[in-house]
Amino acid sequence: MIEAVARRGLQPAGIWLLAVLLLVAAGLCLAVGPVSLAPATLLQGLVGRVSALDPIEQSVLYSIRLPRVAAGILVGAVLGVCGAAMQGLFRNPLADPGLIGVTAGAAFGCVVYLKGAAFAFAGISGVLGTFALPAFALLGGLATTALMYRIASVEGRTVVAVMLLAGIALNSLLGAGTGLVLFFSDDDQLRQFTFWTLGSLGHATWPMLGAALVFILPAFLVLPCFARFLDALLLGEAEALHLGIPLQQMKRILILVTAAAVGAAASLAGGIGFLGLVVPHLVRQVFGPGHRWLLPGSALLGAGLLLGADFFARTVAAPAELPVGVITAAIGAPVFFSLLLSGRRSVFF
Amino acid sequence: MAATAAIQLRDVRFERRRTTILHPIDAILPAGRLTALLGPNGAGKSTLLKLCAGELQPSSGHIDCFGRALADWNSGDLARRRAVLPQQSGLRFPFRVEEVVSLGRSPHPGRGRSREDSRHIAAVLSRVGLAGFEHRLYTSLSGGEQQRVHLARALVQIAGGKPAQCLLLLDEPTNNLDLAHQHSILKLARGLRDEGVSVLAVLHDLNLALTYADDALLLHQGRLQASGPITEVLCPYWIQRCFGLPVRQIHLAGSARPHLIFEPVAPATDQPPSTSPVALANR
Repeated sequence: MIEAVARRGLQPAGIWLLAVLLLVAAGLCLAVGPVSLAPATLLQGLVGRVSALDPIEQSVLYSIRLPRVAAGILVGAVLGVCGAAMQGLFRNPLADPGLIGVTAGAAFGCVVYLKGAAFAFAGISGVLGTFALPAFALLGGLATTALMYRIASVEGRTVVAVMLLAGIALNSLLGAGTGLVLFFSDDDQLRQFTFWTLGSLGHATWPMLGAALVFILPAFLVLPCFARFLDALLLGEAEALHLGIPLQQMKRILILVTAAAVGAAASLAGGIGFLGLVVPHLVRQVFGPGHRWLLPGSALLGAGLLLGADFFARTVAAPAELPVGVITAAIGAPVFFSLLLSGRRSVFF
Repeated sequence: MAATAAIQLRDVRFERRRTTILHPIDAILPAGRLTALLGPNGAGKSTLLKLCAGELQPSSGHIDCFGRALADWNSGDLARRRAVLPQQSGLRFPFRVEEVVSLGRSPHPGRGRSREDSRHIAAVLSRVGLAGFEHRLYTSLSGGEQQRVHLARALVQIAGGKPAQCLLLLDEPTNNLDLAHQHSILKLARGLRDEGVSVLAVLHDLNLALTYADDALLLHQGRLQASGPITEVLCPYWIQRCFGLPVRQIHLAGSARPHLIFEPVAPATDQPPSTSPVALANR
């Protein structure tokens, strides 16, 4: 597969195909729901002809569906592209931001904020209030990553095995902390927490999206420039060093940028599992492991898959709405198992 | 003299967690020679090679590469003149052979994608005997073929430069290879040396080293025991001291260099060689 696609140089065509799929998924998510929008109405709404829509359609499109689709695209793309970058950094296709503790750290930050909001942070309101939850998630994620990097750096070099094992330990420690806070919470807080832990795109508002974008944009701008470096890193750290690459500097930037983006994505949509792990995997099966195509491919497929999963979550049990994180995990885990068992096992170890 | 040395080690010592791995070493690798780095397991060969590659920093002492301290080199400039073949590669991703080799052009302006880069890549692939393998997946190759892919990657990294200013460090290049390929790799190294490239190779097979190398550094328990022309270093006295193996040197008719025969019974070779090791080390 990889050989055939790479030899004919079909990757650009593949990127276009993924982009079209993403557009179709976005269109479906915008048009279908309790209030359905005809394609013509939707198009007019999107190009800014507000008068063509009645007031209900306006509020559905601009206040509910557009921010939701924007959040889906942002979060899906971040999880896909950062998953690919982290797997490259660790030279192991099992690595993803969830694994090294960013997601758990963000979850802990969120829970601490929500619990503390009742008394300590009661004064935070207005614009500051909108930013407070994502900011706490992001702080949690960054702090975890920084600590992790500290632990895993021995004599100025990152030891990959130590970093992965430290990720496991940190994940369970933060999980315990989150569990403890949950234990002392009332019913109302519990429901908020659960929704956040399961993952959902329904919470996103325009101000939240704006706040998250500030931290996500650097990943989209910086990571494509790292494609060649990530390729070389797959050879090994020493080999990358021999190729004249400023290894430590590049690793530091990479970790910082991905931690910020994943933390911000988690604050938007909560914990959405398996996307960061499975998406780069699927893209690699077709495009090959070169990051030049893997990074954009993972961003597009991640966004498309998350929108598709969200569409499914909204429509399958309508009017009830399933948490999208449940859908991605339910699809992702079996796909992952099948990859594990498909004779490509040697890739993992 | 110093300007022509590919590598000059001055009082280089290396310790890790207070254990001395290499005792102070002074040695010169003259440019344009094929030098074998020899010694039993755990003697510090790979550590010394990693120090020369700049992968490890010496605990004390200085390492010069082509007359300039290793730390003073711009990393890109150094990468265009010095390539390293590691003992083992951890590459587990299904890159195509051509892609792996093109990574070797990373330090060059074309970044592996220019027409000149493609020309160099095709040339080194046929040089290591992998012509026609361009589109094969790296992960589908045998261990020996993978080793040759990495050799090609190392060669392409210094391709296009002045050979006399290039250095190739090979860490056990004959690992995983059958007899014919062991010889073909060393023949290739010899060919590069004839073009003027300086080569330092960690080798285990002393007879292979005797056949192809000009000079040798012999390490034992972290100390440099002898250095100089390989026929002088690999004498029964030093081999017995470092490897603990009795050995006989035989000269075959038609062969310019001696061969070593290892025997369970010790021949009478307790006489130290006429040239003293100190004199050799300071050549």
